[in-house]
Amino acid sequence: MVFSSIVFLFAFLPPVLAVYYLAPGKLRNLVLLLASLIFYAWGEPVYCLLMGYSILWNYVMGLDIARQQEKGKRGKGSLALGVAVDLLILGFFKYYGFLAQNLEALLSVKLPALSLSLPIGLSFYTFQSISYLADVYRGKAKSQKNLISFGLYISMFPQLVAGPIVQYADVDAQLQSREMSRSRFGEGVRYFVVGLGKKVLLANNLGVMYREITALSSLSVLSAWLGVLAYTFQIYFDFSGYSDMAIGLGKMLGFEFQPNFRYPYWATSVTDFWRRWHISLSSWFREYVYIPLGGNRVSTGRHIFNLLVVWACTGLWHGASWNFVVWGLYYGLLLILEKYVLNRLGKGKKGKLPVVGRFYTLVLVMIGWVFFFSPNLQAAGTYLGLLVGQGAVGVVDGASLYYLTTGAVLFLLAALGSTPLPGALWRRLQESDWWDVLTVTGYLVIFLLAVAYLIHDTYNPFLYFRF
Amino acid sequence: MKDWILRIAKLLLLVLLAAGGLLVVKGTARQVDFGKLQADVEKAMDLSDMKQGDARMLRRFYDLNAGELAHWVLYTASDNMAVEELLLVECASPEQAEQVLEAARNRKETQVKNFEGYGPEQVQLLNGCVIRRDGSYVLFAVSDRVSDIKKAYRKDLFQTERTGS
Repeated sequence: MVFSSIVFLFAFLPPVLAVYYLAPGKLRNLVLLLASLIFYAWGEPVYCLLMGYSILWNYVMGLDIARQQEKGKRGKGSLALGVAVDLLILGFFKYYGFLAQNLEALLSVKLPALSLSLPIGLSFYTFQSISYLADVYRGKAKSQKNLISFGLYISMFPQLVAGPIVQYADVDAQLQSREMSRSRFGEGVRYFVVGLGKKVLLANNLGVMYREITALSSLSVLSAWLGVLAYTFQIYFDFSGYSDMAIGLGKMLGFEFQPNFRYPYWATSVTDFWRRWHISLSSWFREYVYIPLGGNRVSTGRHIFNLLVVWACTGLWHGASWNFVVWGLYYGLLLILEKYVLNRLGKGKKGKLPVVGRFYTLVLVMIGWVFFFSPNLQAAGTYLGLLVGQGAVGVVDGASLYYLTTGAVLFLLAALGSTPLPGALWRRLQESDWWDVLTVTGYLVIFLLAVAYLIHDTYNPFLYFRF
Repeated sequence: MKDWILRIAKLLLLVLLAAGGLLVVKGTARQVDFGKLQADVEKAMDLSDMKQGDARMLRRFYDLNAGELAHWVLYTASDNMAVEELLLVECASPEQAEQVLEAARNRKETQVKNFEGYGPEQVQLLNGCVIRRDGSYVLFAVSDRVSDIKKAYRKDLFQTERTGS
């Protein structure tokens, strides 16, 4: 089930909220756990078993680590075993095919060619499980003795299938008690409606344009850039819209999740971009991979190695394919370049030319998305060639002008929506007398338009499900 | 929790993991040569009154981009009053297969609506169709030979003679 669906909006969410709010405080975690299992089972019930296994395994291993520590040991062996099984499950479902393919190509070792499906949300809840085990091991959180509370942490439907990746230490206290108020509920509804609007009104329409452009038999340079621009905006509004909906649902249920996006296309450097894009994933890698590797408190050579490892892993997390590895390393190299070359060259000038920084970052991010949306490295190479005219049918053609003119309003809205400007305008309007009427009308219009689109349009993909 | 309980729980969960892993491997479709799969499924279906569909038809009936799929074959009935149809797709990923499956379900629903009220035989055939996804493969077949088609399809993907959905 996806948030941007009629079933979720009208058949799932209202009764879940009603039962949740009517239930006594002690039963709310159970209600939410059951609702989350139904939500997850909606698409493929068989994978509920896998998630159930993951809950049980990490619950037991968390207790085991705590038990070892009570006995004066560190619990390193239990942590290693717990994480190893988590990674084994993730590796099997997500990377088996990739591994089999590469083993056959490199070593002529033939593994059975299985056509495995990736269970939805596996990458997200595996990372949450590892976060739990690591936080218990490092003493940042106590082991969770209540299986229902732990099950809820792993399976909570607002962030189950596409994050944000919630670190256990951040949500530990909220699993025991959380503040629920009308104002927080209202704030949650606002987040949710904005997210729904981003996803359905912007991302889906941009997705149609991207799909149409890339399906053309020949592309001009302008068409190729328009295609990648459409994807650039689509993936942002798709994923940040989904994150907003998740954060909003969390608030409605009394949870506070950290923001996952902070206007990434407004970033003035690639380093800045990664402080604003998929923040929960970057934080996870920093906390559980980069810092344990030594972070930046090491020699330059080792630091560069640490960055490359983290970014190769970040790329691989997004998909079992070499182009994701290249995409990750591309960012690793850019970050190394910024840290060790550009920052030194531009010492004292930092922040003086934000427009140049934003443009440079956006172009590099767009080039990065080519690796991301291409099915393989060869296709990525071909598309990158098109961007500079290689294999293109001229610089401008009829199709590119058609998409430029018909998509102008959409691109403009997307560009504006990617900046903090609408938010600033909204805050200024809060000071006006007719603010209340404006708010209700504004959110209602977004919601009704989104529902109308959902009823009418069949194209409603969600890009981050495959991760 | 006592040490021995934790130890037994860990052991049981590890055994369960191994058993589950074996079951998954056994029950998962193999990556096969699409040409052979197509030939076997075509052999099981009566294609005498059917015509092969092109990318335009795939777009029109299923809203699918042929270029995005790894391999596919589509047959539709030559007669407008017949509903026999075959769509066999190998997708670029199991996730894409989910979208193709949804497209096949929509196609079936549309066809049922088209014939509801005046074409009881067609509706019966549509309701008895096979729509399934196994890994990256999707099969949608409307035919009176559904069980033979399923058998051929499963035989290739699971290297077994078993039937059933």
